[in-house]
Amino acid sequence: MIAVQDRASVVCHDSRPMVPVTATIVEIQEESSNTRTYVLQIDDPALRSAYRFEPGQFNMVYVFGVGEAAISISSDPANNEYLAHTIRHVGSVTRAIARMKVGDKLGLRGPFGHGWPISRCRGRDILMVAGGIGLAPIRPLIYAILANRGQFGRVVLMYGGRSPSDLLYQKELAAWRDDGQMDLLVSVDYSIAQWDGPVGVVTDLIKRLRIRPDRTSVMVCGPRMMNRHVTWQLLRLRVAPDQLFISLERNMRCGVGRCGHCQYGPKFVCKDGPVFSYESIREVFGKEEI
Amino acid sequence: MKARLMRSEDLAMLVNAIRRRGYEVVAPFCNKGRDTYYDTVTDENIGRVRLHVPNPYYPPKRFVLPPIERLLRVKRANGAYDIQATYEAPKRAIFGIRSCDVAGIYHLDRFYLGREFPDTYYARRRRELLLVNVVCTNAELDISDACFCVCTDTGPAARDHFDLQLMDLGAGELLAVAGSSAGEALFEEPIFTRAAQEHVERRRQILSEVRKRFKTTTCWFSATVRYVSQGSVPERTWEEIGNRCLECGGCTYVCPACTCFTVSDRPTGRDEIERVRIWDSCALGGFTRMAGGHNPRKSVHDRRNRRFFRKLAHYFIQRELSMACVGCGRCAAVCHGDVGMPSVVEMIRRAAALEEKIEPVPADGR
Repeated sequence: MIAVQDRASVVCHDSRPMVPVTATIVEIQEESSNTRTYVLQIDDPALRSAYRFEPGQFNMVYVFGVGEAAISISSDPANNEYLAHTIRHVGSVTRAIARMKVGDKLGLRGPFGHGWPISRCRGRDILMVAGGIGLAPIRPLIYAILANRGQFGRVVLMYGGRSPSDLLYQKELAAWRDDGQMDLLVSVDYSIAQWDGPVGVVTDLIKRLRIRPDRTSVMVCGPRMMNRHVTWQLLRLRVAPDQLFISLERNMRCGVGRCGHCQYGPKFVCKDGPVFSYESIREVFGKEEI
Repeated sequence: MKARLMRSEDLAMLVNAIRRRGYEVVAPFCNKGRDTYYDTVTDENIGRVRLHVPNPYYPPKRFVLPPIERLLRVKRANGAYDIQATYEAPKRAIFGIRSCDVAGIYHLDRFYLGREFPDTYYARRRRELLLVNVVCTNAELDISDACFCVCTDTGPAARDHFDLQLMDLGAGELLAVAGSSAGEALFEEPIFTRAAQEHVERRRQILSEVRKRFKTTTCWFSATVRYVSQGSVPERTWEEIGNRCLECGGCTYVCPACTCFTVSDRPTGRDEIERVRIWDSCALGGFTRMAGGHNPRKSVHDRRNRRFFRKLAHYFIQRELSMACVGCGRCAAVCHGDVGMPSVVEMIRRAAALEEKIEPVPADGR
């Protein structure tokens, strides 16, 4: 059972949310040409065992002397020893992380925000839709669901990537496909010879599936356009707006709703999100610039 | 609240009494002309402390939220990092803070201390801060053309959140009102004498007189708050506002209620860095830019839209219990494009009212 932690106990350094703790890189897994998964261990044993996160929450990952980036946690929430961040090297901080090796130290603050509301979805069908790096915050959710598989109805993951080599967690995707606990639909934008799956955008996959809208909870994380089209499409299929959850991303500086960078209409993505129900953001979700 | 009377020539004695209690006293000083600035009171400049000076361009916000504030120090040794949070909380008094700025600091209190993660850096500074408020009564010196605290209901006399409030009753007399126990403790000084009902009455008269001396009194917020909260401000109004914005960020840096910051690292020596937070401005293009270059709020009118939404929408008023505007008029004075708060309120109100008018009345007459 996933215990939704009391908010106060979740944050390491609760009273000092701006102060990071150090963590050591224990393993680096190549995911694609510009994406790697970093397995981290918090250095302080007491903090390590006290650290808990909900699937969908994020850490502020700090490269000493360079800066911080908000990155979702992609490891199994039941694993108290290690945590993992899947990082695409696109900005100054993440490119600095690309130059790091096993044994190097990072700073961590977190976990911050509200994750996927698993407790509200028990007994329901779960549809997860991920695009590109958007699978990273969904992976802890998959672990949590598979650990309590009996509490959920049908579980489906739809995942779209640019090309077959850009797909994350390929071994695990294969394992999830094989053990039959959940349905897996993967598509790519463009293909190479070895690919025998569907080609196109991830929203096309929704057409391949007959969902039961009144008992399905949907978790969406991907690029902005994907989020939007998946949301519109599922709303048309009569999925309830309060059972459609979208994880958003923004420039963040503090993680605790102070710095103002992630203001999203009346919300702050860092502390009110990053996972929002469509219901709570419907006024601003469709706006072009917000 | 307790009130006492003091002579205006004893002002320096009051300042010295606060200094003797261990406070670093900062007060607005006047250069030649109308330039004023907050500076620490010393034995040399105490003779230049005045009750009536134009409100300085830079708000006293920096005494609780410095433009650059160190959060922590990081030292590297043998591949390990030592992280130490650093706090700075001098015992400080702001002497002569205006009512609008008192409201600004109260707004910051609500924002930084009022929710799930109280900001320790802010809290420590704030705990050591003493506010000696001066009521703006001199129409020539205290009140500028841009002041509109009568519209935001934050002035000319603050009702609360100060430690001591001074008001010039004329004839060399000042009425002092204590707003906290720290302020009341100052009444032990021999400069204070008992105040009578007559003085309170005179205070009331002067205040009702002063309210007529404000030039900007048509900054009607209530309608604008409604339009902004409902999202019924026409898009072209935001575009007009955006077209006049020069993206200098000046309005946010002089605003006593603006809270945004960015966090950055700076090296302080070999293997030593300090992490600082720096005031940031939502007017600047890079404010929301993310890694990889995508910017969800690229165009200037959308950035302006977000700023005034943040300041005026009822979602935020509910959270912080006050608008993020205190009517000090600094944004109006600093803005080259004349899109400070009073002009924006005016533009929104006019445009939205016009919009409302041309909406057809439903057939059933509801």
